[in-house]
Amino acid sequence: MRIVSWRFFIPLLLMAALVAVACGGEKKEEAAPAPAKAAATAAPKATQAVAALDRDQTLRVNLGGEPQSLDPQRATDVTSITILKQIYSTLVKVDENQKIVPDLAKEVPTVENGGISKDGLTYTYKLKDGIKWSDGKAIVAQDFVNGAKRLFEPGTGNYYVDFYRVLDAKGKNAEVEKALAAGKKGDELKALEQEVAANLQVTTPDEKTVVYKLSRPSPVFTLLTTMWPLYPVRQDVVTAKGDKWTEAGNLIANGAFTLKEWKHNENIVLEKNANWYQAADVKLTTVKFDMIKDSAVAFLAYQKGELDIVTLGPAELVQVRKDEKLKKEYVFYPQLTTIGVYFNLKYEPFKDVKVRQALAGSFNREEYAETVREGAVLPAYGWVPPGMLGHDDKVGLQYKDAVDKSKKLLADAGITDPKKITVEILTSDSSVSKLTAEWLKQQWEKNLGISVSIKVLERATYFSERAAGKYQVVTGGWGADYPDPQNWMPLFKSGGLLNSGAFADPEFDKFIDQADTELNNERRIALYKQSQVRMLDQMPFAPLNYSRRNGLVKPWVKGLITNSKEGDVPGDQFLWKISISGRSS
Amino acid sequence: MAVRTEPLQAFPAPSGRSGFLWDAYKRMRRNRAAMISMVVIGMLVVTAIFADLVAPYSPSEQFLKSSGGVVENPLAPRRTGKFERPTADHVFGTDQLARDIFSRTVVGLRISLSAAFFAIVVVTVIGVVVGTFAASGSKSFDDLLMRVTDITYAFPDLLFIILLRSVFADSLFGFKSVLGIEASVLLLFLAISLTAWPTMARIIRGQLLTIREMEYTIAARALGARQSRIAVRHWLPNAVGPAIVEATFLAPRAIFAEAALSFIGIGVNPPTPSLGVLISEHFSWLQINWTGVAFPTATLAVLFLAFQFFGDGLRDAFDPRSRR
Amino acid sequence: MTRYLLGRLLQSAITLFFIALITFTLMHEVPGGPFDALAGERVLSVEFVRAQEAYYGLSDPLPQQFARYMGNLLRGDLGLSFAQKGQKISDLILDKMNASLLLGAMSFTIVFGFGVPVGVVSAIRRNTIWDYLGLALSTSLAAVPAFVTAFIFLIVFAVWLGWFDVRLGKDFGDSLGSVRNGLLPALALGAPSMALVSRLTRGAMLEVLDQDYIRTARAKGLSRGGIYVRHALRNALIPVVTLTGPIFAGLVTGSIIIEEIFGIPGIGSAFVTSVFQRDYGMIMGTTLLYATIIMLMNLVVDLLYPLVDPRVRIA
Repeated sequence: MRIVSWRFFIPLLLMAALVAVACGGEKKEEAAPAPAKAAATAAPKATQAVAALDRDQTLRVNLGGEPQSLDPQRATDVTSITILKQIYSTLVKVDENQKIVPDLAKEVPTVENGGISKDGLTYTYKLKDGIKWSDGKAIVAQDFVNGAKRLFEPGTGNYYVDFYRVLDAKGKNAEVEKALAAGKKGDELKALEQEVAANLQVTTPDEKTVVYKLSRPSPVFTLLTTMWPLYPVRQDVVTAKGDKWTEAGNLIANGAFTLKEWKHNENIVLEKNANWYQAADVKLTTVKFDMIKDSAVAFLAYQKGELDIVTLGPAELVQVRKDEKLKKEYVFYPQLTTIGVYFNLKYEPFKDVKVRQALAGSFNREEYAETVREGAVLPAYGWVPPGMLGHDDKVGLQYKDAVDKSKKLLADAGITDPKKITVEILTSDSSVSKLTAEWLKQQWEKNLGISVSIKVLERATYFSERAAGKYQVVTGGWGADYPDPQNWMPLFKSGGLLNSGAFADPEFDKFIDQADTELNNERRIALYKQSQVRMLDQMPFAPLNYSRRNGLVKPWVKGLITNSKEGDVPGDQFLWKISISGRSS
Repeated sequence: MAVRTEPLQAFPAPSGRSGFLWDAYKRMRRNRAAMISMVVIGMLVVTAIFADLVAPYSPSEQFLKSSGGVVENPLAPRRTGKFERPTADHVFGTDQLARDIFSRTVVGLRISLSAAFFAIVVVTVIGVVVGTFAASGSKSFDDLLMRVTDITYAFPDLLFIILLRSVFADSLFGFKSVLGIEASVLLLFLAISLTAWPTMARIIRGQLLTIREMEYTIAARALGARQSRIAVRHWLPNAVGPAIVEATFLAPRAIFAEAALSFIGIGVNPPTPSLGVLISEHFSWLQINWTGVAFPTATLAVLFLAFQFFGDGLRDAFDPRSRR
Repeated sequence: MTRYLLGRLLQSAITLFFIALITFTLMHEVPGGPFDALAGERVLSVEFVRAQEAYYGLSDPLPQQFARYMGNLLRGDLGLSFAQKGQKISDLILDKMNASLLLGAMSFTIVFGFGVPVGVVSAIRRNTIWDYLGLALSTSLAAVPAFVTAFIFLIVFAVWLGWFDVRLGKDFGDSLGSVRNGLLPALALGAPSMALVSRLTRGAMLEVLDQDYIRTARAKGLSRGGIYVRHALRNALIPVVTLTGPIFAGLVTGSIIIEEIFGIPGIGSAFVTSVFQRDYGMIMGTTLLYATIIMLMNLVVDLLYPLVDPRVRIA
């Protein structure tokens, strides 16, 4: 087997010839050392009976970059959350079947067991007995209150705080909103925000009970308590260590692993937390996270045996396809992410729904998935992705093979000469978005005869233009925070989190408003499904693809559980269940 | 080493411009590497000018093939039309969107070459003017100019380039394109030039400071020549050697800088394919598609080497004291 | 001499002030703020953005913010990072400085350690195979963009030959032992400058060898080696010396791409990231650090100048 074709040397040889220097470096193919041989050949993703365990229970994975913060109330990026999941436990968690199960709480609160009050405004969690922080101190209800308060403090700076505005703060949240509407700034606002934190209705009737009071019913609040912004926090550590409390040696957490070493921008080393309540089930002693940004370099490190698990970029996928050995180590599975094309309804010609529908029906999603993305993604016609509650594989199919229909729609919209229509695609400088934009340009020009230009902007500029609605067409999408359509459909409401394209449809908004407060689950999901049909008909966003995880896992990694909702590392939701068996060094 | 046969020249070639150039040309004709390089540059320039005729396809035309929706298994073999090996149809093969790499390289050559010449002109003009004034003007004038160069010079290039790129986004004073080159390309090279000129100015100044102390300057001054006349007639021709070495290095440096900027993600807009964009775009596919990196890189390397040897030849030729 | 030095330092302080002013203005002029960069595709609630701006004092008028920044700077306080929340800029920079400085120093050694001898040999053996070979080697390395060279190095030396780890940047700058891992990055980083130095040395050397005093020395019957080293090289080094400062500064501040490819956690990659994240404090911090390094290097060069060329007087 070989890692790189010998032809790789041609540019070098050419160069050498040019300056008339003989360059004696032609490599024989066998010079490539085969990556470490594997004993086992079975697919690594199934949980299997653990054979003889290796003495060295170290897992080495690539994190892909530096986490912005290991402070759960401050973290917003996937990279940080990937690590937080390993070192923290909280009240309840989502298991591999996307069900909510108890973690530190004795049970998941429901109306039946009295955990949720009849009016849906009070949530009560009882803590398990004997649970401890990594330093051995008992976990108490006050730790959760401290976490919630920190989230609302103005200096924390976590935009996920908006997910939790539903928490009651004696009406102070409403006052903040009013002050902002009145254009208040600076110290006045800071004071109000501090009052929100001070008056937050998260209470502890006793040491083992946490009670959250809401200002309005929220069907997804239990899911919100699985997320990191409400993780408990050791206020004594935060106070004592200040800004340095998240550094290795200072950080006290309560998950399966603890932070042993954090060399910024280089690596993170976690070790088993003996004080975790399920510590007996954890076989790994150490998890090493590297921060290799370039997927090609990470791939090389994997081949050289320096990493056990790696995520593949598009180019690496093609290489795996050609390599019998790597093929056996390949894993792929859907992720809860949808990518597509946003239209800005502020501008002509996108004000006309027919034009939007024509554009949505005139690019070939199958060709994109199969050829441009090499099968790394699935073609998408709906907004809520497969595997998510509320997904519907029947919606949006009117846009499949619809080039003729689209041409007619353009004509119906009164566009007789499509050449005169110019569309500008705004894209960031990421290679995939550029590639997608170039492909879309070709599709629209070929299928509709319109003229398309591309504008590339550097990341931050791109996002600010985008948020300000200064674009005609952009690509992008959404990845799930929690497995519920409530995390998806309201994003396109007037003023919704993803709605920068001025989409405002009263009928759609009505569905969302009803669904958001509907406590009956079946009716709630049905309403979201209806809203999705309406959205795809009104077409503020044309789905293009659902994402997939493509990765490689060494055969000695046993018990990897993959999950559609994971972050930067394949299997990162359940790394603690992994064991190492049969590693050849 | 030849023994000097001509009388010592204290004043370099004062006999008019054409004679000076003609002498230089005669001297350069004897330098084979420089002459070959000149021919190579000439050929590349002609190719670039007639890029539309040379390129068999449009640089943005995609030759994607679909074998009918193999999306279920990413490992299933497929024919996509991408990453084709060189064939008669596509002599350099095809890229990640099944575009013709040869056509893209030819068009990329045009963009990179014009941009490099643009950078040379901008840097040389600013550098020579500032450097000469700094060395020949009054002390305070020298100080002032050097402070301005210091500031420009100590300024991290990247921020400056991103700034220009962001402030002007995709148009240069309202023009979307100038002479068929996209404004974003020109802006990028303008930004690169504006960060490169202090080096040129410093070289000129450093060279002139040395020359100022040499005998012929003192002689000229003693003969009552005006300061400006000394600067123009005597110093500049002597400083021209290092300036040309610097300028020849600048062309490929500008193209390289653009390649590097493309690599970290602030290059020119697609579908405009400068050589730098081509290399960095193809770079992530390097291990499966070597042609995409190899041919633009080879073109870049040829450009680089040609400019090197040509510049060296020029330097020897312009320098009246150099003898074979 | 002391007066000269004091004057230069004063000038440097003024230059720094202007650089701070320009950077500050430009940075706020560039579209997109720190919260855009953090938020990605989300449209942030006005509520959140206003509250954050209030907390970090970003809603104050720019001159006031600048004055506050400069005041804090004088007290040695570089502020807090937006992107790496709650971290002090000064800590973050100190953390990364080792790697960048070490890499720059190694590269600098390679550039002049090889560049100057190659240039000298090329000039002495002008138009022979040695001339062509030396130039060809130094220029062909420079003829390929650094990121391509870097990746080829990785494949050949780390994957095929197995001499290095693929993750070269790991632990780089922490200990003397990590110096070995810096060889490939330093070579990839220095290649273009090495070509420049060797060509410049060759050019300057040729010019000097043609001067009358060399003829005189030769006519006096001095040994060739003595002529080359004592007379020719010393004078030929003048234009080369002018470049040492810029090249060192360029190597330390220009290692962005090399740092990215080899995963070296230095200032270069931190700077790029901070620009992309609009992490204002970090942009200011790294810019001022870069500027300081560059100016320091220029000062060193100007002090060296009269030592190599006695015709130039200081002050």
